[in-house]
Formats: sequence, structure tokens, C-alpha cells
Amino acid sequence: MRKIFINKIGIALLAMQFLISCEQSFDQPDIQNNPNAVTDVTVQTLLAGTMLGVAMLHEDTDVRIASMWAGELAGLSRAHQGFGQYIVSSQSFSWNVLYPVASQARLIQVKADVVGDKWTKGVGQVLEALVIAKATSLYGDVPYSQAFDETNFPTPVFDKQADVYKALQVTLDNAILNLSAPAGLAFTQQDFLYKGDVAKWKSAANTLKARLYLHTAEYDNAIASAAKGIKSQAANMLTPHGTSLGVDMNQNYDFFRVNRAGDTGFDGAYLPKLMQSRIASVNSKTDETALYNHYFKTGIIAPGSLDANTTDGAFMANSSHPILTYYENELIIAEAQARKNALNEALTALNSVRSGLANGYLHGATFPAAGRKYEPYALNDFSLTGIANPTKAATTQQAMLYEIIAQRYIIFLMQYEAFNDYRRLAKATPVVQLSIPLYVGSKKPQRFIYPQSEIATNPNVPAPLPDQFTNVPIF
Amino acid sequence: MKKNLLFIFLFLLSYTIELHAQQNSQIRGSVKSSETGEAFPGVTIQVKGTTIGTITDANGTFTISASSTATALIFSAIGMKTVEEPISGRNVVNVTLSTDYKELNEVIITALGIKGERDKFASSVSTLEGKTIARSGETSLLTGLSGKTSGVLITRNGGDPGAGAYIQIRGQNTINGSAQPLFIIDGVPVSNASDNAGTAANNGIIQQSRINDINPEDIERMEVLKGASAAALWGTRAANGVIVITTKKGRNTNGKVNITFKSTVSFDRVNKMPALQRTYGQGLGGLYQQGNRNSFGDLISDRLGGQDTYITDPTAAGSQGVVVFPDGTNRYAIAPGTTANPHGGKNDQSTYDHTKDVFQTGHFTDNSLNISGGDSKSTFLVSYSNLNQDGVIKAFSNYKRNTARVNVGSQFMNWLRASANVGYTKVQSSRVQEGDNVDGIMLGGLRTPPDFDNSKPTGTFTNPAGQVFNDAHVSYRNPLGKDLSTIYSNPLWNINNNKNTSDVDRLIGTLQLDITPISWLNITGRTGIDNFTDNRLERFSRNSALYTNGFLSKNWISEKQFNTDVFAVANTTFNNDFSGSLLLGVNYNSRRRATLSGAISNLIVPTAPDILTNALNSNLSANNYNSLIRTYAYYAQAELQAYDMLFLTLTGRNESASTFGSETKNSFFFPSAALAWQFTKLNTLTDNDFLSFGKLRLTWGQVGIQPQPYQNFTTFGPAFYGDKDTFTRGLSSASTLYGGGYVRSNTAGNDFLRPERKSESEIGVDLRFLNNKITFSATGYSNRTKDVILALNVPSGTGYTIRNVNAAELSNKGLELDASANLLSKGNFNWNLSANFSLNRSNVVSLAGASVYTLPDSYMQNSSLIPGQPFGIFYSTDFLKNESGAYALDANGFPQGGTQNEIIGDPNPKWRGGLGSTFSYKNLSLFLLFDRIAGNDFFNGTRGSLYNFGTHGDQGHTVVAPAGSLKDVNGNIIAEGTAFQGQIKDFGGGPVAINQAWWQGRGTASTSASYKQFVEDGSASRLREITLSYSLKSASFRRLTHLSNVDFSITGRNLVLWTKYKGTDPEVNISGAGLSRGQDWFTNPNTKSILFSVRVMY
Repeated sequence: MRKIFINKIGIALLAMQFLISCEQSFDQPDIQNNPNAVTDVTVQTLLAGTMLGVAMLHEDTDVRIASMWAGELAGLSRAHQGFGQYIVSSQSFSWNVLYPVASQARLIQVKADVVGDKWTKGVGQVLEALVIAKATSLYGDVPYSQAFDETNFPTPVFDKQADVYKALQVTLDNAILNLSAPAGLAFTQQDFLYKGDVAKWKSAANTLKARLYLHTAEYDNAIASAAKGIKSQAANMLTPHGTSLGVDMNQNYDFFRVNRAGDTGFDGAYLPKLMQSRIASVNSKTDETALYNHYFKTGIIAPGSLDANTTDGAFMANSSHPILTYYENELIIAEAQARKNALNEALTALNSVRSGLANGYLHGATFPAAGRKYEPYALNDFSLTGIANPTKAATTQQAMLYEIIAQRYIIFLMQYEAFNDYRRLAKATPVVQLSIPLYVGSKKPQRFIYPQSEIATNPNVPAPLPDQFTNVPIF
Repeated sequence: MKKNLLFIFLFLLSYTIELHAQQNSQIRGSVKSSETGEAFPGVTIQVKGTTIGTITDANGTFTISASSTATALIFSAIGMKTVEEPISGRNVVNVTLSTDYKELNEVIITALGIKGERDKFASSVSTLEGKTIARSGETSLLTGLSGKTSGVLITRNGGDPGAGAYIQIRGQNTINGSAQPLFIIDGVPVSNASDNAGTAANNGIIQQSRINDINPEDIERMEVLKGASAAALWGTRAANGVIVITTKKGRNTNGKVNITFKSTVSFDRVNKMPALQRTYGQGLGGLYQQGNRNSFGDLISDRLGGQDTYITDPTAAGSQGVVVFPDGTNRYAIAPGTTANPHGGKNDQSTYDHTKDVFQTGHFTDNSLNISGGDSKSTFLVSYSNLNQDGVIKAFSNYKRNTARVNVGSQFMNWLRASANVGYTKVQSSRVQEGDNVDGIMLGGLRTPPDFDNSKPTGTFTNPAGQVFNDAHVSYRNPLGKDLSTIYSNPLWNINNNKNTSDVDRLIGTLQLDITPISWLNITGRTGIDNFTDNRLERFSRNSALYTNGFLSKNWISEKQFNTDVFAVANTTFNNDFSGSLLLGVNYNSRRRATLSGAISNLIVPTAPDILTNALNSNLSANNYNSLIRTYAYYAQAELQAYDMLFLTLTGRNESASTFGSETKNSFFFPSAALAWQFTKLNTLTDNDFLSFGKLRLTWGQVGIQPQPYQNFTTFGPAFYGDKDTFTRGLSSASTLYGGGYVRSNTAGNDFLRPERKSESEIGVDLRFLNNKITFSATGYSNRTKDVILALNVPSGTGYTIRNVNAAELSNKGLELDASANLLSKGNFNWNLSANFSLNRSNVVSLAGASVYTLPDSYMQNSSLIPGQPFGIFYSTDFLKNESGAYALDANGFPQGGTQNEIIGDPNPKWRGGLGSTFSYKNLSLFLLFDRIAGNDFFNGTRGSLYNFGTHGDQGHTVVAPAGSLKDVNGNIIAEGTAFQGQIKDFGGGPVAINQAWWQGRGTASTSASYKQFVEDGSASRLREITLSYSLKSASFRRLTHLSNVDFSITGRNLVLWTKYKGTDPEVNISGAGLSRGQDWFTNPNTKSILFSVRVMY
């Protein structure tokens, strides 16, 4: 009897010991924490990561589709051949980078508020506006007022496009205000776009405002913002690139040369034709040969094919890629002034771009001097008999607008703004357009289609779903 | 102490005296086999109730001394029914042993590794003998199960040697993490990881399934526990079923050593490839163009013939330089075709079969040695095997597996038994690139124009300026081998230059103590480990398509699993009619996983060995991952038996796991109940001539699935942007250019995660007829998994794209039938037939409000979950339709690209069945196994992609436009009488021309116009196995050789395939063992084999 009693105590003790050791077995660093990731970072570290996302969004598939639909690039094989024929569906598009990057930009602002810093908050606001501006210009109505607040708005509404544009102007005004603070956190090391130069961020915010005003045809506002915008090549917002694949390589090089060589090209695209028409033409002040060769090279992918110049031109592995530039800023002024028929002001702005090109400057690179000529225009070059009126436009205003939009078209190669122009110029008055042909069919592509993942998860996606040939409200 | 010694002495003395006091007699006799009527050597004979024993000699005779009190002799031999023969005072005892067909079926191994009686078991369990797996001709254990049991679906991941496989029991029950069953070897869970890590995941390298590290020859038997009630004691790891593997152990042979040596040689070939055209040459628009990606060029048969006209003068227009091949021949640029001369400078009419470029007859040799034996107290088994396989791909495709095993056990004292099983495996293998990958052998190979010769993949290139480049990579898009301009690898270059290897060391060991302190109580303590490391290497040589400047990555993966069970079983008999047992136990399990990888790109010395210092620091990247999961649980099982016909089993497991969210409760209870009723024990049914046995089964149980580790945290990580959507390799903050930025993960953490919970009910019958000659069993089941953890897509406007939530609900219903019959038994001739049939209907019950969830590993057919639909249904595009549901044709009579998704296919089979037949005559036997999988859709992305390039077999036709001309998709008119490469088709608006314009626009899987046009019926029937074997075991042979027997066999594996599917054998899947099923995108093909094997037993 006593033995049984002892056994019982023994078993009970053993069982207790086991229970206690079981409870303790979860008391391990690799269980209490995730050993593979951090759960918080400083605002500067987040800033650098978010910038990279913004950079990616300016060199991604959306941009290449926009380039094809603007007629600058041709789809030749596989998926891009379809995109080039305007064959897309809801699964061709994704917001899985776009909105999360914008939400990182919003998180920067939250973290900046916690440490009471205005500068990083201002930069966060510029980054946010850059991303949402892309979203709304390509997709129309998009979430913004209820975005980035999962707790209160698990299915954010899609704001009207006009409201998004208005809200973006407010965001950028706030950004400029914050960036005007007398002091703030240093983030030189993390800021690979502007090395912590707050003044440059402020000018970039103004250029972006000007771009959005141009979209909404508010030309006075566009001129006013651009006046405070990027006023020198040194203030260009350019993404630097290196030669390491999957790390820092220019995404266009990666696409054109490495990952999807030959899937797109320039055979059959309108841009090379337009540039060819400005070589050895009556326009004796202009020779696009050098820039043409900077953009394109024959026979890289296959004998005789007109390819992106990935060898010694604009699309090398370490070529910088533009996000916001001095040229765009000046061309916004030029177009807005021309639309107001303030032709002298327009001419000054246009000539400042030509002066830059004459020195061979483009997006941080210098293209060769041979075959490079951009002499300043005079007003009478745009007269009916002028050298810079290839379409024989009836008025100087229309001729100059044509030259400005052609210059924009050339500068915007591999920037989605070319596709925004393509649609915007059909509506902006006076209507002056490049004669960009459609690749197939008779319907102009007008927008991107809402991504499948949004359709599947958010009941607020506009219904009926617009297809790619349906105009967005502002264009 | 002294007292004790004295006692022992007295005891020994009394024992000796006793021996002397008894009269010993010699008993002689012989043993014969009932099958052959011949003498049976090697039979163990034991005097009942003693340790005295002997074995029969080569003539089948024996002599044994037994005391006068001995009552009976026990005769036993492997594979024969054990006979207890009463001595009844005789001096000569002759016995005939009959083959024991039922041995396997009479017992069952339960989830805890305990033997039970099958006829008392209520849940549905399939048992497979080790030898049927070994006989199948598969080198891997998983694929060796194919077609042999109902309710189990096995799909190999590809035809590469050592390729892993996907196994699914009764449908898919989870979304998150692995949907693979839990594997238990000798009572201890082991890893069946088949993870793809690093860049290999993107580059289409098929990884192995770790369970295939087990040598099939080491397996005694395997039980597939399909039902939840059978598996419930494994709690949150058992929702996908449990497979219990029992390894071979030594037997009591009275000291005789049994030696078995088996040697197999196999020859393997690709069993099916897509059809390719050989009519039209490289180029487009009907014109030849060298280096062009397409095969819409000139009509090859119209060429002049003979040597091509080369542009040899470096100053001539169109000169590209020259490539000189190792055999001294060279190649220059060829002038492109023109409207006047569509062939240009291309004269040669030769064409090449690119389905054969890189393939050969593969082979393997498999040798295994098994030595075992034992006496009444201890048993041992030692085994070694060596498998050496060269795959059907000519180079860098092999699999070498060496295994060693020691299983020992000893009954140290009558209350203590100890055993240890230790297995070591070493696997080394190389695999080639496949899939959606510009270096993939199928992608580059099948896209090659028929008039391009891939057999010269390297050479020396000299450009027109005279610069010389050695080690040029010559491919169809880079026909002169220009430096860094490959685009698509030549598959022959790829298999000789790009390398992917895996080197695995694995140790699995269990130690078990069984203590029987009192006759009714048994205590078992069992501890096991499963540790492996997998060293993987990936190398892209300079001038490869994907990494033009070369790439090297090394990945070290290690997993360590530790598992301990302690349980006690108490048996009791209440009275004549009622008895029962109670089991109480605890389980502790710990799993650690760690990966470490380093990679470099832009190799400085292209020919250097595989060292990570061979690049600039800026081109070096590294990462690591660690996880720890711990689980502990208490469990109990009660068994009650009434009137020898009702058997009730109740189990319960209370479990805590470290992966449960911190805000949820820390333990969950998983119960089960199972009732078996042998209704043939009813008085009215006993001694029924027709129905020999009948059992009705009812079970219910709950099992679960643990969350993956660390899903409760929202984390920040180094910024990286780029995935398959971007068509580029992306940007990473690891660059010195980008300041080391971090971003918040797009996946929101969840502190409330709890285990998924699957409830399953089963009802079934087991029947045997005509004196057990015919057996039949049927099981119906219905299960429902609640709280399924879903990486739920959330609107990206929230800032997150994914939140892990216990959200979804899935259900499966199904029916499983198994039957076998001894159809004919006449003299020495025997014919056995066995069949199995199963069907499963899965249903996504709810997705927590989401309307669609697309599985992350799916291709463009979008395997998705949609409430009310089967699991993994294809949800993607089809052509635009009008209100009546017909295609809305454009003005030219062609359907137009769809822009929204719809359901376009279902990869789940309607039913599966297997039919096996064994014919035997004396020592000769023939086994045939057919199986069929029916009604499953398969996405043939390979065909969809090849259409874009013009190389598919459907594209080799020349048609002539009929009277009235034809329009193509772009509205171009093809005049009457004009011949063109294509087809004439009528979509409902009159005949139209299907030509390059169609295939490069809406008629390809490269665009989203309609993916439905590439969804095909993947139904397939196959002769999975045919084995002819002969066993040499006559008495004269045994006398002559002193061997027990020698078996010869010839096996054909996967020899015949009947399917309408147009691609490779549809029993492959491009995304491996992932959840998306039925997708093909340049997957490496499957194989068929012929094996010869000989087994020698001493």
C-alpha cells in the first residue's frame, strides 16, 4: 500500500515536472520573436526603402505598357506583343506594389509626426503624391481619401478622379509647407534621390503640382507651380542605377536586354519615325541624329532590328532613370503659356530645353556631339512657312504647341507621362496632336483596367468595370 | 546480497536438476511447401513454451530434442502461415506450410505505431507492403504508391531523376503552407520537405521530396491513415492524413543469418512530348530571317537545298562576323528573305527534331543488401543500398542515393524490451532548368525553329571588327554566338554549363523502451530525431540567357526534428463479454529549420570553381532564415470491446503549439470516436457460406493544422521590388546606391491565429465472401475544415495586400471502394484481381467575404478558390461573349480578347481508379496494374506559348484560301488560291484564316485574350506497371547453391499512356508539390522505364 502511494507521488511529481517544462518550452527567443525580421525601423530607413519603391514604379510594366500605348514602343513577342495590341485583362495589372508603396509613404509621415520632424514628413508627402498621381492618371477613380487605414476602412471607397487630383494638390501644398520648416532630421545617407537636399524636394513638389495642373487644364496654376519647380538639371529627380542584376540594374536594361530581350522593340513604333523626320529636314535648327542613336541601336537583339540602345545609350545597366525633370518642368511652362497664347514666354521655356539638349544633357547622361543640333527657335520659325511647322498648322500657337508636344513626346521615352499626353492632348484646347497610329484596330487605348485582386476583394470597385477603351474622366 | 547469491545458486541448481529429471526425446521430420510440394529449407522450429529451436536444412529436414512434457512444435517461415503442430508422442513430425496471403491484412499499425487487429478497426486505412512499392520500378517511395490505393492522389513534379511528388489524401484541406500528409517512420514524425529556395524557385528547378530519402527496400509496410479518427492522435499535424511507415526488422531465426541481395537495372525514356512542326523555317511573315524568334518563315521544302549562302566578307552589308565550331565548321550571317525571294540566303532544307535534342535513354542501377536475423531474445537487421541514376537528359541530370540502416531490438528482461532503428541517407543529385525560364531546356528547345541545328552550342565568335570571343554560346536567337546576346539558351549548352546540385545528409533515428511491469500494463517511451542538411548549388555560366555575366548561389538548408512520446496502455477484461484498454500519453515535438544562402553575379573569373569570392562585393548577396516550432500534447485513447463484435475507440488530444497567436488560447482539444461492428458474429449470420465476414464502420474525428511560424508578426524587411509581374529582376535596397532602406511587409500579422480544424465523418463496410475469396470494402466520408488560415488578399488601398486570418472553410466529400478476388485457383494456376476506385468532391464553403482567392503558385490560368466552387478551379479569361453566351465576333469574324475573369476549368478529377491483376503459375507470376484519372482539366501553357512562336505541330499546315478569299484577324485579305501557313477556322461568322497574326495576338497564352483555349482534358489511363517474375527455389536448386531462393523479374513502368492531352504526360505539374494543380509551362517530361532485377536470398 505504501509502495503504491510512493509510486503515485512519484508519478505526480514527474507529471508536474513535465507540465512545467512544457510551459517553459515556449519561452524561447525564437518563439517569442520572429528571428528573421525586425518589427520596427527608423523613419529614415523607411524613407530609403519607400524611395526604392517609388523608383520601381517609374520603371515597371505599367510604364512599358503606357509607352507602347503611346506609340513610343512596340510589343513584339509574348505578353508584350499582346499588350502592344491592346490585349489586356484585369489580370494584366496589379496594385500590389503601387498602393503598399504609397502606404509606406504615409507611414513615413506617421513616424515623422512621432519624432516631430517636418522634413521627412514633407518628403513622405511628395512620395505619396507621386504614387497616387500615377494611379489616378492611369486608372481614373482610385482609393485615396480612405486609403491606408485598414482598421477603419478595410474596403476603401474609390474617389472620383477630379477629387483625387484636388486632394493631391493639398497633399503637395502640405509637403511644401513641411519642407519649408527651418530645421529637420538629417537623412542625407538614406536619400538616394536628393541626398537630403530639402530645397530640391520642394522644387520637385512644385513640378509635380504643375504636372497635375496641366492634366486638369489649369494652366495659370501650372505656370505658377512650375515657376517654383525644378529649375536646373542638377535638381532633376533621377534614380541612380548600377550593374548588379536583381539589385540596382536599370529596369529598362534588365527588361530590354536581360529578362525579356526582343519582347519589345522600336520597329513599327511612332517615336523613331517622328525623330527621323527631324533629321536632315527643313528644320535646319534641329538634328535629332545624336539623340536618336542615344535612344536606339540597330541589330542588338536580331540582325536589323531597331532596339533600345542598351550598349552605349540611354538604356545601359547603370543609366539613371528620370522621375521628375527640369525639361518636363520647362515644357509644362511652355505648353501652358502656349495654350494661353503667351507665345514669347512659351518660346523661352522651350528654348531652355533645347539649350540643355544642345549641350547633350539628358537624364544625367551626355549624348555625343555629332549629329546633335538644337539651335534656339525664333517665333517666326512657327509661322505657316516657318522651318518648325511640319504640319503646316494655320496659327503660330498651333505650330508651337505641336513642337512642344513633340518635344515632350521625345523627352518622355519610357515615362508614363507620354501616355498621359497621348490621351490629354485629344481634349486640351486648342487640340493639337501627333499623328500616332494605332497598332491594331480602331479603338484608342484610354486607361488601365482595375486589377483582379481589387475586384475580388473590394466591393467599392466601380461597376460596371470599364475596359481599356473607356476614357478616364479628366482626359 | 549474500542471500541473493544463494538464492540464485539454488535456483540454477533446481533448474539443472529439473533438466536431468526430465526425459529428452529426439524428434525428426521434414517440412514441405504446399505450393510446390517441395522440401522447404530454412523453416524455424521451436518447442512450444521453451527457447529450444532449430531450422530445417537444405533438404527440408530437421532434428530437435524435446522434453517429454513438450506438447507441440511451432513451425514458422517468412511469408508462410505459422503452424503449431501437436507432438502427441510422435518421434516423426512432418508438416506442410502454406503461403500466408493474409498476414499483411490481419494486423494494422496505428498512428502511434502500435499493432492492432484490422478486423476490429473502424477507420479506413490502406496498407501497402514494402515489396509492392519496391516492385513498382519507381526510385522514389512516393511515386511507388501511385495507383495502388483508393483516395490517394500522387503526381510527380517532373521527369527529372529524384524529382519530388505531390500527394493528396481525400482532397485539399488547407491553403496555407504544406498540404502534404504527415509521415511517421517507426512511430516518429519525419520531414517531407520539398521547398524550393533562392533563385531556384524562379528558375524551375524541381526539388526532391525528402520522404524519398527512405530506401523502398527498407520498408516492411506502409499504412495510409485516411480518416480523421485514425489520425486524430497527431492533432494539428494530421489534417492532411498520416502515412505510417514501418521499417523491416530482424526475426527470430534461431541465430541463422538471412542475407538478401537485390540488384536492379533500369532503362528510362521520355514517354510523351508535344508535337512540333517541321514545315516552316525561322522568320516571320513567310520570310526567312536568321536569328528571328519565330518560325513563321519560309516554306522549307521550297528552298534550293545545299549549303546556305553566307555573308563572309566582313565589310559586306549584313555581315555579322563568324562563329567557328569545334569541329572546324563555321557559320556566317545569312541574308534575310524578301518578297521576291522568301528564302534569302537560306538554301538548306535540313530540319531537326527538337524534342530529342537533349534527351537520351537514361538508366539506373539499384543494389541493396539486407542482412538480418535473431534469436528468441534479440533481433537485428542491417541494410545498405546504392542507387545510381542518370536521367533522360544527357548531362547534369542524375540522382545518387546511398542508404544504410541498422534496426536492432532486444528483450533484455521479461519486463523490458529496447529497440533502436537508425537510418542514414546520402543523396547527391543534379537537375536542369525547366519551366518559365529562358534557360529552361524545354522553353529554349521547343521554341527553336525546325531548321536550326541545336547540336553545335559552342564556338569561337569573331565580330566584323576582328575581335575574337572564345566560349561563345550559340543559340537559335544568337546563331553566331555574339557575346552576351543569348536571349534563350541552347538547351544543349544549358545542360553542359548551367549546374544545379543538391547534396543531402540525413539521419533518422528512434530509440524505444517497452516496459511491462505487470501483465496488464505496458509503458512505452520513444524518442526520435530527424536531422538533415541539404547543400544546394546553382550556377549559371557566363553567356547564359538569364545571367549573361554568370551567377552562383549556394544554399544551406537544415532541418532538425525532435520528437518524444511516452504512453502507457492498460488492458483489462471486465467479464466474458466486455474488455477494454486505456492509453495515456504525452508528446513533445520540436522542429528547427535554418537556411543560409549566398549568391554572386557577374563572375570575375568565369571558369573559377564555385567560390563566393569570385565577384565584386556589390554583386554579393546573402540571407538567412530560422524558425522554431514547438508542440506539446497530452492524449488518451480508450478501447472497448463487447460481445467480441462491437469495438469502440475513443481518443482525445489536448495540444499547445508555439505558432498559435499570442492573443488566442494556448491549447486546443482534438477528439475522435470510432465504432466497428462485426455483424457477421450475430448468430443468424455465423457459418454463412456466402458471406464469410462483414463489418460496419462508423467514425468521427477532429484534426487540425498549425499556423506557420511567425505569422502573428507584422515585420519590416529590406526593400525589394520585383517579381514575376514586373518582367524584370527588380531592385533591391541592398545596393550601396540605395542607402539600405527597409519597408513594412505587405502582409499584416495576426495575433489571433488559431489552428485550422478539420472534422470528418466516415461510414464504411468491409465484406468478405466465399470463404474470404472475395473482399470488398467501401468508405464514404465527409469532412469540413473550419478556420482555414488564408493569406487573405485585402484591398491594396489599405496599404497591405495580405492578411493571414482563420477565415476560410473547405469541405470534401468522397467515396472509396476497394475490392479483390481470387478469381481462379486451379492446380498450380492462380489469378487474382484487385481494384480500387475513388472520387472526391471538394468545395470552398466560404472565404470570409472575399469573392476570389488566387493561389500564389498558379500560372495565368489562375487556380483559385471561389465560394461554392471546387478547390483550385481555373478562374481566368475567355474571349468576349455576347448576351446569349456566344463569342462576340469582331467585324472580321474573330472572337475578341476578354477583359474579365470567369471560370474556365476544373483541375479536380471526377474519379480515379486502379485495376491490378496477378497471374501465377508455379514460380512464375505476372502482375499488371492499370489506372485511370478522369475528368480533370489541365492548362497546356506550353501549347499556348508555342503558338506565339510558330513551332507547335498544329502550325505546320499549308492551306490555300478558297474561293471568295479569307480575312485574317487584322482584316488583311488573303486572296483566293494563296497558300499560307495556318488553318481555316469558323468561329461562327464564316471561315477565317488562322495565321501568324492570330497566333501572335489573341491565339496564344502569351496574351490574356483567352486562356481558356488552352485548357484541355487531362484524363489519362496508363499501364502503370507490368511485372513478370520467376522465383527459383526448388529443393535441388537449394541443395546445389545453398541459397534459399533467387527471384528474377522484369518490370515495365508507365509503358503505355492513353490520353487526349496534347502536351507531355499530364502527370506532372510545373509548380511542384504546391496547391495549384494541373498546370504545364514547359515542364520537363515524364518517363517510362523497363527494369530488370534479381533478388538472391541466402
